[in-house]
Amino acid sequence: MDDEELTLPWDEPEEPGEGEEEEKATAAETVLTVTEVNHLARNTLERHYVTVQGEVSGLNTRYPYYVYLNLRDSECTLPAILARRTFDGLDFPLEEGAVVVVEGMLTLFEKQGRYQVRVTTVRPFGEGALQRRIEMIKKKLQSEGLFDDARKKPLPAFPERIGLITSPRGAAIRDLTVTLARRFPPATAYVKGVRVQGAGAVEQICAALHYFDYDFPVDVVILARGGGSIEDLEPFSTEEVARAVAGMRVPVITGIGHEPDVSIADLVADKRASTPTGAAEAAVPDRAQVHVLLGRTAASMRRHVSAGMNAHERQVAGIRRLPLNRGADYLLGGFMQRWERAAGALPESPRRGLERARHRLGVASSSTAFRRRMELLAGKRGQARAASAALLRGVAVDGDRKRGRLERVKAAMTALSPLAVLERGYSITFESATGLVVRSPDEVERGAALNIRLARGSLDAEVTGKE
Amino acid sequence: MADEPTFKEAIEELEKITASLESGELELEKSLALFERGVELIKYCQDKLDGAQAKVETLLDSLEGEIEVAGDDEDE
Repeated sequence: MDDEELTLPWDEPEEPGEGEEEEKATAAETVLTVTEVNHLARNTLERHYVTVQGEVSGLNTRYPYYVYLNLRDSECTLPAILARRTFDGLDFPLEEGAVVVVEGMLTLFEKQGRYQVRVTTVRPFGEGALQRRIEMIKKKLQSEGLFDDARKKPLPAFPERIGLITSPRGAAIRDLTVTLARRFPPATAYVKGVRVQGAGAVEQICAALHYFDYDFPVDVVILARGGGSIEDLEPFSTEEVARAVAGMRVPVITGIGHEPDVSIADLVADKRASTPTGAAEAAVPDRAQVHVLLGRTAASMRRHVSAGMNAHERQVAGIRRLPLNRGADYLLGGFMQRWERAAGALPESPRRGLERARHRLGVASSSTAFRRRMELLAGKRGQARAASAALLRGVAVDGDRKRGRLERVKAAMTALSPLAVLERGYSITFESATGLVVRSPDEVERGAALNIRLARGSLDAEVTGKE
Repeated sequence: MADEPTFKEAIEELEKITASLESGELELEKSLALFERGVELIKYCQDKLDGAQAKVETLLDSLEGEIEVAGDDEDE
């Protein structure tokens, strides 16, 4: 302010003794202007450089050069101003209600006689102390082995009952439910709303964990919270919550704060994600991947069953070739051949004997008694033929029935194949280098070569842009 | 399906069926029956995957009086 150039009578002889000064002024009954008093007050105040802790209120960021706010404690209010540039450069959110430690010079806005602190630096309150406390708890629990991988429980592959412990309002609950719904519709999310910061948060979080472990069975629990200051996240780094998480029988996934935030609950949890969305992604499988799995299962089943069917068909063909079906002639023919071969191999005299025997057989076969036997045999042969025909028919009918059933299931299988989806106009994008299916732009670099599988054939492409 | 298996149970049964079929030691009748059951299970899983959006239920109890009433979470 310009009026600093004004030289006031009491400014100069400061050193000699202020008592004298005052007396003189009183004696002369100097009457000051308002401006002079405010200037005096300002000069006095500006000798004080303070470090002060308080809660932010009345934050006003409307003006271009200064941000106005009040620092408060339970009794008093201290107006403060902060250069816009400093405010914009802060690495934490300076918000209503935030407790901060500021350093600055006391001063006075002379025009209004408004006393204030001109802030030069701001930091969140308790950063150092809280950090140290958390580190101590961390060391203690670590020495007890609570962070060991060995004690982490495996997550269920297809959880259908998911317990969510988070604030019932805010972005976290939304991110969680939206992500679960998008990835795995068979799941149901059961939300246990808790305070995630401030008074009662620790107790409510512990009670909710216990609830899902004992009173309301779920497959997996997600403990989540949106980002916040270290103070906001403190409940998740308390020993109580950490021990409650460690003691859970149901697996726990955490998604607390933003990427760099690591709470102790994160370290104890069976699985840690950096955000609520990440926690939901870790909890359930991706629907598309499950579809691929089902498609593979279907293909495998089909392969094995049709292999079985082919084997069966070969069996049926084999039955058709059985001697039984060719009739008694076949059997008899074989017998006669064997008989002739055997006869040819015999020496002369027994051979004659055999000839005689054969003659006798001829005589016998022409006898009435033998003919009757032959007729009887023919009847039996007819029966056998009828029976074998019936058997084959049966086999054929059975085979047809099975084939019909197979056709039915084959048709069902075709509809289940992922390739059938391609027929409907969908396509699958693979990254050429890895052969992996691409689901998100993050999975490929700009310029990466792609292979796009269509219903018929495929295309080669390149990533020219991402969205 | 008479009694609804959970998704996990369905997948586990499918795995068993595939393993049985792979063993190749089953009679045709038995393997077809398994196959049909497998198809049924795959359909069941697919229907569940493509079915309605995941449900969200807000649990209320005496612990917190300030919690929103169930149902608020669905839309905004």
